Amino acid sequence: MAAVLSIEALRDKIRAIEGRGVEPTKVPTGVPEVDELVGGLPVPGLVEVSGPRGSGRMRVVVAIALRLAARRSAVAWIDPLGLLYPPGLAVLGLDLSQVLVVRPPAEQDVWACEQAARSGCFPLVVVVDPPLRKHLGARLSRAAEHGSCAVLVLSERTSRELPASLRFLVQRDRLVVVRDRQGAPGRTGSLPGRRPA
Amino acid sequence: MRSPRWLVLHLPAFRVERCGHGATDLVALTVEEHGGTRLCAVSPEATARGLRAGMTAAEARSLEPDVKLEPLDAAAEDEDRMSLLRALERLSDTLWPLADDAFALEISRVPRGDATLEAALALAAELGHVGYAVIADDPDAAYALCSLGSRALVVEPLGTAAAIGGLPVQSLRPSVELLHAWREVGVASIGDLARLPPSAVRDRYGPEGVRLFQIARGKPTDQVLRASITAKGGTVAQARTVLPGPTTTTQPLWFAIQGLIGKLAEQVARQDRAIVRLLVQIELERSLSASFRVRSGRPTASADRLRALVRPRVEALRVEAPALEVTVVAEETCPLRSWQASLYDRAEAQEPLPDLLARLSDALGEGAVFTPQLAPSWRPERAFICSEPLPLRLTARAHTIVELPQRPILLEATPKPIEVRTEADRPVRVRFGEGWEVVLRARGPEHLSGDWWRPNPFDRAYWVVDFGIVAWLYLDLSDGRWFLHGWYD
Repeated sequence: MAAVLSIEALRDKIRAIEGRGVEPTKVPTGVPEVDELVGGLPVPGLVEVSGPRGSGRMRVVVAIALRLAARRSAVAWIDPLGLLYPPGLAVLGLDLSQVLVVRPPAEQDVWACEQAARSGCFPLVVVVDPPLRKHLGARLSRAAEHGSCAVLVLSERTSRELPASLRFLVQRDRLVVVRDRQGAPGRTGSLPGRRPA
Repeated sequence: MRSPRWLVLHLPAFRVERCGHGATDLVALTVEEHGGTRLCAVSPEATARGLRAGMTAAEARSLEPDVKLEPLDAAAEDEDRMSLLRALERLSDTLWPLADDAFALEISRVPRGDATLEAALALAAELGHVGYAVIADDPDAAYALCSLGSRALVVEPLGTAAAIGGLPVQSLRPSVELLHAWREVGVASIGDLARLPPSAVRDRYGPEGVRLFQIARGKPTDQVLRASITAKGGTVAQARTVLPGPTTTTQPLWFAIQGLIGKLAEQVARQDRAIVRLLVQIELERSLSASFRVRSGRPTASADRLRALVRPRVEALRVEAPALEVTVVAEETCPLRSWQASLYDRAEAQEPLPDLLARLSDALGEGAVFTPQLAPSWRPERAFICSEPLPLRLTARAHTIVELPQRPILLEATPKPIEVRTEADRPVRVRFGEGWEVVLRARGPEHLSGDWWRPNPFDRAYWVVDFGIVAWLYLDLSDGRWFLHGWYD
């Protein structure tokens, strides 16, 4: 118990040094597969969903975006590589008039993510396969805290440079919790939605 | 015709005084430049002891070991300068930051110039600055006089040439090249410059030479700051200013633009309209020009909101030649209605969503921020268009039913060639990464073709292929090659 307390004290100290004062709370997403597994997304917080393209990472994100759309909340999709294909989102049921896509040029991608998150206009900001840049994680964490939102980063590989409070790995049609600052890692669950082929 | 009259207020120690030092203190401001610390401003006392802007900190200390060096806070200095300008607005509605340490006020319509001069000096003293003020027919001439020590001087109308004739020519602040060229022909004073033949000046020294020559001869230049507002078609308004002198730096340009925005917003509000889009046009020397557009997000008649949107664009602007004239046009206006946040807007929002979208669009460029719309095209890469994101239509619909065949959620901008083995025309193995992957499931083909009337027709057989990950592949029927086009992520 003493060790746990000292780690918590250390985290508080780091938060104080970084000027952060808000402990994220888990907000249920309305997606049973996610909520039963981890209790929701940390807000404010950084969430990473990693796995190869085509593994089903987007099924998590689209399921959450659909629930948010039902509550009249827009999601910002930051797409630095221009990969997002809106007809695919429409097929999955997202109303495209509620979809905001930002395709920043390479040199402004971190800035664009930061602005969308900091603004507080979106409960969820999704960043699709961002090129890993120096300080990306720290900047996004601070922006999420400033805008009281969750920033969900889709990546092909788990990146330790990204200080995510919740980290999923998508593997063989399963959602694996790799890291959960407010819970135990290692749990697995099924992915929301159906496999297409 | 009455000649224009200008009051120039010169605050030689402004940059150090704002840091809490006096004009008699031995102090200099420094910046980190070219990997070293250099002086960028020095107090009058430090100038008297031989310290100059551009020296390294080490050189300055070797000359004057007791010199106090303060790092420059450029943003705070700009703020202080703007505050000072706003304070001076009570003396003239046309004013201009002439240099880092001087302000020009047009006072042609002020009946008693000497009273304004005293008021300007009193205001500077009240704010803790040592000031020099001169009234003359030209702001550059007035600056030349006060920078060489004229504390409070009113030059009679049409008497400017005589007043500045004895001053060294560098007090008109010519470029280094021009100063060098004049020295070569023996021009040392402003009087020498005024005696040059006009045709020689025009041919040899370019627009800058001609402008300074006119000042030297006491002829009022036609580049007088003048803001005019015109209304086009009753709804579109524009405000224009001819700058008093060519400039390549942001600060004087921004000052002119922000003044114009204020006047324009006022004019538009009087017509009960709000600005949706602004166009800023800058006329440059050599018949060049620069322009940019700013969308306001929420229609507004608030000058402060418009200034907040325009300022980052001006700060990022790099002009190819000195700017001569600025025009701000309210290109698109609409009836003025108060804006109210929607019930569904997030309480956590630090700024309204339309403002954020306008800001992102401005910073990232055309087409970088969009709401997609499906488009009637068989070619997958053209099956959607990017439309402007305003307004986002937030409805309580969770799902929309779209009659579309299954499509991937990620699409490669350029299809990537991929090796595929087939049996009975169905893909069975795919070379992916280091080795061959067995296809677990394959659904297809979906035959898509078209654009036969264009130079690049397409004829493709698409397959949804699951080999552990789910990809969208196609066989190009024109050449038999396989491509990876997207991902069912």
